[in-house]
Amino acid sequence: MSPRPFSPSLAAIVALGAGIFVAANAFAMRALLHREPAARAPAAARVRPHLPASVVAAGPRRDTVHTAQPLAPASGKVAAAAAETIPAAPTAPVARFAGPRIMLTEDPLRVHAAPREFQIVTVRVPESLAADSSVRYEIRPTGTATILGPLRGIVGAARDGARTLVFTVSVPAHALAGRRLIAQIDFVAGAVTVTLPVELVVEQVYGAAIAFRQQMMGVRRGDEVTLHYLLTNDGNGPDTFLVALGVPTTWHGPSVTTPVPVAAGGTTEGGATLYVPRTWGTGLASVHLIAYGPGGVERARGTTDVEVIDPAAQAGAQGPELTAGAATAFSDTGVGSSAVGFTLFGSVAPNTFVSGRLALATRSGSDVAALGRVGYFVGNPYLTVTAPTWQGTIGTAGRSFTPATGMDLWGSGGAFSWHGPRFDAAAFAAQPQNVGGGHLAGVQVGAKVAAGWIELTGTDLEDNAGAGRRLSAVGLSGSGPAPFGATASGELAYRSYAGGSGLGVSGEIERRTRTDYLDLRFRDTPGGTAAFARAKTEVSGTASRAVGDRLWLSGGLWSTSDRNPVFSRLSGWGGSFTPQLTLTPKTTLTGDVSYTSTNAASAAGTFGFAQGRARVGVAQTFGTLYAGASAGIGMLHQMVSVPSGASNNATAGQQTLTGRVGAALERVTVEMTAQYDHTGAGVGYLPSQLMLGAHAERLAVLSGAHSPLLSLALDRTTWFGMRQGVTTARAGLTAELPWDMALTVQVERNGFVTSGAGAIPWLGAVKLEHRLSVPLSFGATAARGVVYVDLNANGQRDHGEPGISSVVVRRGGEVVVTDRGGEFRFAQAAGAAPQVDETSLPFGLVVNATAPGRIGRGNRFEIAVTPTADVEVDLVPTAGPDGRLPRVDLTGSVIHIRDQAGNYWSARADSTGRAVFHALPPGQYTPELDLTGLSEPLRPGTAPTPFIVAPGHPVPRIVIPVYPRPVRLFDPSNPGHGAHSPGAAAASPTMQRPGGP
Amino acid sequence: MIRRSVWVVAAALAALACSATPTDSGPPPVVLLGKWTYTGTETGSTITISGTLTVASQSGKLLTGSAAWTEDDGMGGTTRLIGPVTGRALDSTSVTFDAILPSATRNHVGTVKADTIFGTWFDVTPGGLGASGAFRAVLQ
Repeated sequence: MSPRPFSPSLAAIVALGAGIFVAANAFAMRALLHREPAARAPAAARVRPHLPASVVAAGPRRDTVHTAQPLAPASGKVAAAAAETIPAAPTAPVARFAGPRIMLTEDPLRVHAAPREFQIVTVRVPESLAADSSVRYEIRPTGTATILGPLRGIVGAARDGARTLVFTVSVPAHALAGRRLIAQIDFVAGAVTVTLPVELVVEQVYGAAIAFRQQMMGVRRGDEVTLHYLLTNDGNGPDTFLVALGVPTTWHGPSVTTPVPVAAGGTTEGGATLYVPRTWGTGLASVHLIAYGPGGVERARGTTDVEVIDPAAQAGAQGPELTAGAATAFSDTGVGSSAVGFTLFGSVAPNTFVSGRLALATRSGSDVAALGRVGYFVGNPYLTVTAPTWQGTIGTAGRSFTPATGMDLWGSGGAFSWHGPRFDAAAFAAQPQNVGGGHLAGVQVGAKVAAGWIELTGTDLEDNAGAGRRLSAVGLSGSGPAPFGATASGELAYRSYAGGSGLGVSGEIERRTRTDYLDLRFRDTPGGTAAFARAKTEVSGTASRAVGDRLWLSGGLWSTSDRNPVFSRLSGWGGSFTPQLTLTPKTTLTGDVSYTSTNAASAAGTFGFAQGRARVGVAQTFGTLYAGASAGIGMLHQMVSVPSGASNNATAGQQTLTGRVGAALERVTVEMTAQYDHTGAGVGYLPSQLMLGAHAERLAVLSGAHSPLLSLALDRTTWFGMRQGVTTARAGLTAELPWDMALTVQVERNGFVTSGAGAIPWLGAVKLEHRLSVPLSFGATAARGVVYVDLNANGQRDHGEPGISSVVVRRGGEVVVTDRGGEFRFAQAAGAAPQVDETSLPFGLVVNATAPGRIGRGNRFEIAVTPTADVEVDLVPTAGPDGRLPRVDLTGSVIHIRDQAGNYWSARADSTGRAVFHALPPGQYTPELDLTGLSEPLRPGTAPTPFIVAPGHPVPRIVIPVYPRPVRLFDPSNPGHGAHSPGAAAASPTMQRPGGP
Repeated sequence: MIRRSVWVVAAALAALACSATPTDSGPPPVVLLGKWTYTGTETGSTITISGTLTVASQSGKLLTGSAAWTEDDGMGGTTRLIGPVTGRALDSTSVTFDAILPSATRNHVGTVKADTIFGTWFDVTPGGLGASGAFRAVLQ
């Protein structure tokens, strides 16, 4: 509404012509002429052209003040408000002539307030009215806001200062932003009436909410999933949002949506398609959405969970996945290389998985190392089958028995291990992969004794590569719990090797708690590395401990000695101490002090090296940015002497500075590094070395979920003139192509690698692969089924009832997710019926518990979910027989509804009596009221009518009238006997007894 | 008091760190310039190394160059070992050089016979005894 316009009536014009008006209002006109100076004349431009100029020029100056100050609302909380003064507008009032009276309209008074505020408004009585007479006023609300205080009254004659009128404006919580007329105040003094419009300017309040259609979603690795969400503008004015999507590292998805305008109170639905890479792990991951308003101000944030399922968990019934491909490489050796490769991975039976790899060079003389750039390692094929209690490998196989009977054994052959609850066994037989040949054989059997295990191991090992290694050993080992929560293990073994024989001994104690770690180890294995041990003698101790929540101390000491056909002596010792202090959750300080001394003697000479270093570093994160720096100093000593007598013995210092800064963004991870080393001469390093690097990983080239990923790296090393600097550039691309194809490209230009002519070549490899499922499955038939929308709630899947995707279905320890058709599949046939994780159902759908689920006697399950409905129930206070309308806050009313099975659903009404039941499944419901908690007890008129929730049909609002209870009167002359009197409440409200029957 | 001690120790370490050894001037006892075909084995494992050792410059006894090797673990995996090389000809038949690789500094002590260098190598790692083995380099 706008201020009432000036509208002269015919009667007023007639009266003006008769001159009666002048006489009746002479006093008022004189007052106006005296108070309005000539400076106000320009305002006369606003005067309606047909008004007498003298009247307009003498118009009163609008000089109204309104203030707002804190006021305690009904809840007792103090509403925030700020004092505000609106200066007088230098305008003249608008006059309208209404018969014998002068009607003046002032410029609107504007009151600024926010929703939920109470604003005290102080209005100065217009000075155009005679100060020596009282002024009658009337506030006429327009209904767009609540005016508190007397709406009419009289302001006495002015004595000292201005006369004021005070009232309060209550701004509704849901008031929309903007300006509106809320009242007009008429001031009347004698024959003059001045009308003051009051406008409320509601400030815009911003807000938003994000809700997801599904609390949790399921997705298989390597699949994409669409996340549906609702964005609601909770503010009181129109707003425009950008929605940003935050996904875990390496996932793909749109980072920011296009701007979305939403009206106040409006809701818009959006969707974001995410791609979960095959390399991601399983389990719950969080995805968050952030709604930004203009200027990048965050309005709302929402997080939902995505349960990532291993595709192999569902592949039991489908068989493993075979990836076949071909690769070609160009290398620094100038040899063109090409190969075909096959990778097998997946389930072949319930809980039984297979993995294997085979790469064959298709050209003789291929540079196998070049093919390794794209993951093809020619030769060394293997096939491994893993079941819950056993594992077997044929092809390139490996095994470590015990420290004294043989470690790190690899060759072409087979390995098998079995682990039962009381016994275990392992066997290994292979031939070393070298031209010298040999054999590797070993057997191990074990049994559980008390809380530990003992094992007997026998090995016969021979590897003729190089200087050769040999060992025949029999050992007895055991492990089990030790005092103080530690685990102890030990071994005694007879070792026979090329140079002799001896008794091998090893022992280890390990203790691991939340705040401590301790590991003490001793090994003495005659023959050393020449007899398949890691050294002749090893002694080490490692410990770490958390001191409080912020400090972590770690340290260790070690000593090792060995001898073999190459080295007659090989020994070393050292220690380190590494504290780490967490200053803040984003800042970490680290330190490192270490010393290492090593010595070696061979036919070529003797060599010794010692190094002591100290380093301090700091790491800091800034949201997705991170940075770190460290500085270190050290001393290096190198000694070399050769049989001819020549030697070199040098000691030099070393200083190191490092820096690193990077950002882990949604579409790329970038990092820049720098390291500077300065080393004295003679100890094996160039004097000054600076390494700079710039790296970008998993850069999503396109915006789609299946965008190719690019990795780039550029490194530069300079030695400040000591030698020519070296630049290394690398680029890699991985792209998923249609028809389950994948492309991998790797190229590199490395300054350390030069061709025969000294040029630096580009090296690279390209691989193209295709995935397909192998229909190979053993064991019991897998269970399978579908999750569908049971539109008619009959518990059976009818034509047109769709399946639901991305629903998580569990059974025992197995977790699967439905595909686009709602289908799911379990690898294990036996077990209980599948259960839908209802948090993964779209909002508004619930499992129809009455549906049978299993179809026939087979392993087919059809899980019905039915649409629900929101039901709104309104309690409407209604006048009773006495005509009295109950005025009671209905907050606290509890409404129950009972379904046909006798289950109760409850909701609490708000102050207006409205209660909402969300997601009611189909069925018939009967409302029941609990109104005992109200300040004035009410009662329903009649028993509420039952209602029906039918799938796909909205339920009309349920209206339940509630009436005041009859009042019992107390008759003092007849104690103990009350009387009901419909009219007594109004006549004698003090006789009302709240809480009475 | 503690703060002063820290500064004294740091200053001493810094001063010691800046010390250096005398230079190696004079004619080279043996010229090692050129490209060498490098092969090696690691003791106690199935790892073999192959590639190129390049001696790009030699000033007196001092030599610098680069290593571009491939390490085959014998189990299907390969690792590229690439980095600068610095070393010293000890006399006419002996050489020591260090390959500064990403994983460790690999020290070599070898004997020069005609166009072949053979000897042993040893990794210097701060946390324990590093890998070791034998090598042979033949001038291309």
